Amino acid sequence: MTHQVLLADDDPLLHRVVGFKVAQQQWQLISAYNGAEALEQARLKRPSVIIMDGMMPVMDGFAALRELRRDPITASIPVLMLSARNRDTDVVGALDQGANDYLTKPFSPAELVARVSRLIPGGAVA
Amino acid sequence: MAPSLFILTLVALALAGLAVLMWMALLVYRILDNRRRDRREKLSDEWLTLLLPVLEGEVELSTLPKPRGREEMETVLGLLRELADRFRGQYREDLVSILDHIGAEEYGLRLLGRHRPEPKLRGCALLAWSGPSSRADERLLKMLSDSHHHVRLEAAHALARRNPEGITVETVITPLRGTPALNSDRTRDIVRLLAPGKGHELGNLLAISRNSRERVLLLDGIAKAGDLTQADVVAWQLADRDSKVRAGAVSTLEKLSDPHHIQNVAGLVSDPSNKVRLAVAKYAAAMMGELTALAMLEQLASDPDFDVQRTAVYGLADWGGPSWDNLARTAPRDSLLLSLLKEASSVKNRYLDLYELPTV
Amino acid sequence: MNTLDWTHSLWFGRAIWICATVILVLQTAQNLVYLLQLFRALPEFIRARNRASRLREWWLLTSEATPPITLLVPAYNEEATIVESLRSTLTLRYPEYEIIVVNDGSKDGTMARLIEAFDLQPVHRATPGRTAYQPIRGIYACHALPNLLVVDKQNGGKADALNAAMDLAAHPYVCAVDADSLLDSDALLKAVRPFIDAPDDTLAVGGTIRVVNGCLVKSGQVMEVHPPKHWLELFQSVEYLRAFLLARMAWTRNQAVTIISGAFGIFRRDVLLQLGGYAHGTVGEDMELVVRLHHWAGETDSASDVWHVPDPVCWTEVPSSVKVLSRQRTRWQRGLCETLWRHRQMIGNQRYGSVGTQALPSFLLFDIISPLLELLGLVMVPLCTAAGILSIDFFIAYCAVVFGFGLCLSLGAMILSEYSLQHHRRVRDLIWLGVGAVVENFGYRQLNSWWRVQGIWHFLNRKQGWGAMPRRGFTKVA
Repeated sequence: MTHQVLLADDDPLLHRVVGFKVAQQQWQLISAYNGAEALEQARLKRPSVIIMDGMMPVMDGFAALRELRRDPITASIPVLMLSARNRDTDVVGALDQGANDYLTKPFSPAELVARVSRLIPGGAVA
Repeated sequence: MAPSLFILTLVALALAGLAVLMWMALLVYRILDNRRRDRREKLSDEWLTLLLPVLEGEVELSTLPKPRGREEMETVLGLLRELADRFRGQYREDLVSILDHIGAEEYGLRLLGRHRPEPKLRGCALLAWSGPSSRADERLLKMLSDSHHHVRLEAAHALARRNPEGITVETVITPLRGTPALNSDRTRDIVRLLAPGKGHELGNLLAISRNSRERVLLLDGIAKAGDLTQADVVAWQLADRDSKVRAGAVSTLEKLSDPHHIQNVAGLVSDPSNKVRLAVAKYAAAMMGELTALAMLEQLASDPDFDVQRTAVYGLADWGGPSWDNLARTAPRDSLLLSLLKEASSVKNRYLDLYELPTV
Repeated sequence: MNTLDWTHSLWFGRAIWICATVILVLQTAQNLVYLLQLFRALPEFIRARNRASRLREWWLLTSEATPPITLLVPAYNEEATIVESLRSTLTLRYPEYEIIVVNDGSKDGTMARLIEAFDLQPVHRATPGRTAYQPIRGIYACHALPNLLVVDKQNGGKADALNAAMDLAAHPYVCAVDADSLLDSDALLKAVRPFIDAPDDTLAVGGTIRVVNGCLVKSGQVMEVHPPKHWLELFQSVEYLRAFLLARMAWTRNQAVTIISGAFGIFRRDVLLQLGGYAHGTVGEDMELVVRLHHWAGETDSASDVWHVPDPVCWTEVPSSVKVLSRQRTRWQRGLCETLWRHRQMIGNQRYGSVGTQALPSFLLFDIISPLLELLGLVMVPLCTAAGILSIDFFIAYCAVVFGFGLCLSLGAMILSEYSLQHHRRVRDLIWLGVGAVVENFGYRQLNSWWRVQGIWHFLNRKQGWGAMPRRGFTKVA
């Protein structure tokens, strides 16, 4: 079974690059461009991992994360948060609210993939 | 009277007519520009498809085609810049080799040869980013004496980023002296980029510099270089006439975590400049609860400037102990100080789980 | 009897003729000055066009030299939009900034919406009271977004709310933003440039305000730029380019910008605090503040550069009904009058540089006196031509000046800003904008003059009210 990775970010170029990396791993990418879309997609498709940007229009990543954790359908999906800032308080805030991992922008795509594959339940990559 | 009215009418109508013609010209320009934009977008998309496998090492760099013409080059450069903006690590290093491959350096050097300042600026910005090459370094050194100070600044920045072997801070900064460029805050970045490993040179320059703006920059550079051996030269500047230099010296000592000159810094707790006292408060807060530092903070906690006061109280909240208790005892007499104390204790409490609220 | 009548009408006719000539000459002069401004703004626009290089924006984003900024967001009864616009503000591209939202005693659910959406918790913050404002009811912070602070205070007006936010701000620069307007994501990054290029001399920077009506807005961000479909909004759209953008670009050449819109402006915090923040009791607090900055700089011989940077764009919604628009415009005019009156000693004074000798006198002449003359001319010239007192030639020349120059200016400003800033992509939008620029000269501009005159009237009325106060001792007993 191929794993599905949901990317929620408002930057189209990021989707292209992450999409390329994800395809390399034989995973499938689901795209969402804001927090609300991410929630909807997460409930509908139940992806293996969610990569979520902290700052997005409509609903920011932190609010979306709270919602995800509140909903029993999505509560157990691992979430990796992305953020443009790297202040400690942000990291603490995100992890407090149930994020499983954290990466600050700009990031290395290889590192992203490594972290995501660690989050995939039982899905170590070859 | 009639002729002047006639001329006026004619002029007004001619201007109106001219405006309408320009409007038409704008429409034509827009149509052409839209086509160019579409072309660019398509190019950019095609190049992204080409670039991603190269960046991932799936395809050899040598198979990547070279951009044809100025427009394609600009498009590819823009795309690479966007990628560099978002990603780091392997990607960013690979981007430099891609820049080399597509001939970005040649293109940048050509831009430097243009007459107007704008292309020169763009050329400098591009070379700031391309791989090591002595030819580019030499050309940039020449641009340091360009007649436009904006170009000098951009060239200095590019050189600082490239940081070629053997370049000195003096070479880069001297051409900026006496121009408005020295006042730009970009010079701080330039000195910081050059600073690592050059503490000795910075100290020597600082000792003889007669320009106060330059002294501020050099102090900042020493802080970046983290060269504790220059602390004495830095401490001399604590008595400078310019308040910005004094503030700069204090914050450099703070960043060097230098405890030896604490008495000299303590002499500045009642400096007339808010900026200096703010720097002193930050310095004292960073001194790991040292006794003189705590005494300084206690004094600054009732400073007339609120920003200084807040920094001092936060500093005391960090270290706690008798000074903090002292403050808590005297605070109820001053409602602002009390309020500030509550704020500091609640802010620090959240992450450090420390102090009890002072009893009111 | 007959002779008397004849001389009477001769003198009457001559007076009319002189009056009409004065109006014609002044209108021509005014239009020529505007044209001159158009040419003076040209190099600034070209510079803006060339500067639009992504290379250096990127540098700003990663540089340590980019100073942190505090955004001051006053909100009054904004429950419908506050959360969405704040989310959009939180996605700004800028290395370090904090946002202080001030709920100015809203009567609706603004505060509740904020608390709910951002999971706000009450916190304690000391308020040193360096500016004057109404009591604060509570301060809230968001755990996940450490750069957000929300202040709940009693109602006191926009200036009051901004003062409260300023008192709590922590960063060296503050940016006043309207809660109901949208910022381009690079707006701060582009607007901060003058502060980096000349940190010691720059006091304030303003950005361009544009009309959002007609644009496609998705989740608090302007996705596609289109001109408004309705006439009234279209005219305002053109007017924002002509009157506001152009004039400010012209003044920025000698850093004598006197208006920074309340919807977007960055200031040095230490100077604002020294001046006590925004002034209470004026409807034009944004203009008053900038003029006061120049005033202060003149008094203390400090550098007083105030810039207008054209590309950081702030989008605002303009009124779509004549009634609301007329209220807005008369208020603006009253604010202008109040500011000029408060700082009347600056007018014509060399001490305040080109602000005193050029900018403020031109406001007085073109924004206060000229609308009066314009309306007078509009009524008088056609009537007197019909009565045979003025010649048909004069009438034609008058129309040519009013409409010909006007058309040239409206179109010229539109063309210039579209060429350099390239906001509209569709050719059909540019045609429509051009139509707006032409048609606004036949009715809308005249209506505007009428509102200006009304604004002056309101100002004088209020002044009279003050004058009648007994303690002033101005009351005359008949």
